[in-house]
Amino acid sequence: MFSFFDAFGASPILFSVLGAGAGIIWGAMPGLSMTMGMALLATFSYGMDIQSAAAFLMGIYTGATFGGAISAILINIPGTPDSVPIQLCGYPLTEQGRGGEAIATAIFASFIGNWVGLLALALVAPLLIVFALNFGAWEQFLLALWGILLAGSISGESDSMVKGWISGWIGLAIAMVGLEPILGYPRLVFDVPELRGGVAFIPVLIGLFGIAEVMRIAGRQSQNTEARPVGRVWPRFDLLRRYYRSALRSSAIGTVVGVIPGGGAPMANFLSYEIGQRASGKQFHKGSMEGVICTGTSDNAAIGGSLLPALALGIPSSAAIAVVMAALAYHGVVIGPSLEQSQPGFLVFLFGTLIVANLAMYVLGFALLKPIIRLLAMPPALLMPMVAMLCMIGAYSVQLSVFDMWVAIGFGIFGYLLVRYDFPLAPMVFALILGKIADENLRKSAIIFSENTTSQLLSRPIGLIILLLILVTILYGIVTTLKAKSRPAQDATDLNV
Amino acid sequence: MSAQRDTHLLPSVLTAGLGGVLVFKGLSMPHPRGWSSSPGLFPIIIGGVLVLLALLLLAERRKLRARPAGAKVFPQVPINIKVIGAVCGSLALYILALHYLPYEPPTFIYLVLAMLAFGSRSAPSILLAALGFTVVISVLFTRVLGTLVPGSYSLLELIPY
Repeated sequence: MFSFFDAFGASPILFSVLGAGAGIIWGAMPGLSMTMGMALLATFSYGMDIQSAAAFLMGIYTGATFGGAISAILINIPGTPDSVPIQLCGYPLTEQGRGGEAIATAIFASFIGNWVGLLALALVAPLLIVFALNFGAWEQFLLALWGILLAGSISGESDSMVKGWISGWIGLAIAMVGLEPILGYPRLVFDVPELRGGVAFIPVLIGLFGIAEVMRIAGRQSQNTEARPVGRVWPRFDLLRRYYRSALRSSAIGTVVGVIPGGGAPMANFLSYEIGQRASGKQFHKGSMEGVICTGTSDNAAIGGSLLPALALGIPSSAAIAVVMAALAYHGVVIGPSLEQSQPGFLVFLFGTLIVANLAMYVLGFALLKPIIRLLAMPPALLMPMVAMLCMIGAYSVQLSVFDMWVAIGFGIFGYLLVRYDFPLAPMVFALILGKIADENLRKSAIIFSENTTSQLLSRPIGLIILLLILVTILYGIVTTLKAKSRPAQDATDLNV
Repeated sequence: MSAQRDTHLLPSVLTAGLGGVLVFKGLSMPHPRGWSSSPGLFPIIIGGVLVLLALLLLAERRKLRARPAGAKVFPQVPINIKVIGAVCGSLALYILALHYLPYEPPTFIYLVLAMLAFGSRSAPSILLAALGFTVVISVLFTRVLGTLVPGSYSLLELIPY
């Protein structure tokens, strides 16, 4: 029997703080992914009692979610796919000497997002679950497709929307590699046994952003060997007051999209970025504190949202949530619809641990920020070789596979060339995550609606709305592309990844 | 290398090529109960879309080239083949060395050489950073987290624990 107030005991608070600290540090290290951190750090929870273990896991999850933004903003290498949108708007601020301010603002934004997500979890969980249940295979396919188009549109804004889309569709093609989920047929494996399991997205992320960034810095080494100043490390509260609407809107997006199967934090963050940009009329990719607020709030609001499908339906919405579920199952707590029967009060206890983890993340975020910034702001001549080594061990550790280290190098070259040719990388990573979901759900819906397909599919209201959004996104992209461009081309070194 | 590199032509050709390969591969995949459940369905769609996008990229290129004379059409960023070769070559050698050696020596040597190559000239800083990094990562992964590091083994395994 658990209660909400159990989360505020000495032991859960201590382990929540430890988890949040470990999560922030892990997430902030370039090349070390959140999922890997969750999987490795969760092993410590096996020796704890259930309350401490749950508090520790929630601490890691909350801390690592925020930590990924630190390396994204400071050195242009996102720790997680979720951090890619904050990288797009945050790294240019670091280039302007405002990196410290951007991260401090991101901490506060994360804090707000977490609270909104928690409130939603506590107040409207049943409604959100009903909403999520309306997303069948067809809607999940369309949502994944729209997400990929949206990511391409956003990331390609600096140069060409078509290039953003191509990047996304190449990501989808990469996701097709390996045994497909319905018939178990080996697709595009070219007789390479290691490819039968597919291309894991963590080594790809590490290669595209980490190794490629090492190459980019190596290329301009003669021009810059000094550490970059990051400016003051304090949030701009005046900006937070000014952009409170953006923060609330993005928190709502994070919570709702986090709940949807196939949605999750990456989708929520791209959507918050895009809607925030449209609402403000600014170009976030040139560096924007409002962009940092939008993506920071939605990223952490999605924590509460993404826990809902797991708690109510037993469906993990991300690999990190799956790790939490597995670690809790080790303690005999099976997360799912029967949770309240098997472990009465555990749900409210988990809300309590999230509150403690959120507070711990906020305090530790500021406490650890200066040391982390000092570490990441060391001269690139010392930092970049270490980043390369972190990338190698990060790629290896996901599946203890040397092949994944080669994958990271291969995608490092690919990423470097794509950036040189002004292709954004974010849509590719996003599509790689969503590719298998899109493929499986497209075929499921084709089988389910095999008779009278068109009319049945068009009669589904949520699907119809997403379909219209897809058409609007495509039309907007094509019109923008075919319209004569009046602005001059920019030097690609000034463009963000 | 031209100062203004065409960032559209080669990518559109390669994209169309990739799309074509995907369509070809998708068509050769089994479809026992029609295409709706075939593993080739989505690759064919992806390939088709990539070909269309390649054409759209060519159309965009045409628009860009129709700009007034003197306007910057394409960015002027060189592709530094030497950098790609140096970074990837050194990492490839590092991975190969790990097949025969424990994790720590290749990591330490890579870090020292890479820091020198990146332009650092302070010997104490290089040695301290390389040694500190190697020791911290080894201890963290093998002793604290209880997992494996790449390489035939870790030197820490030789120390009784």
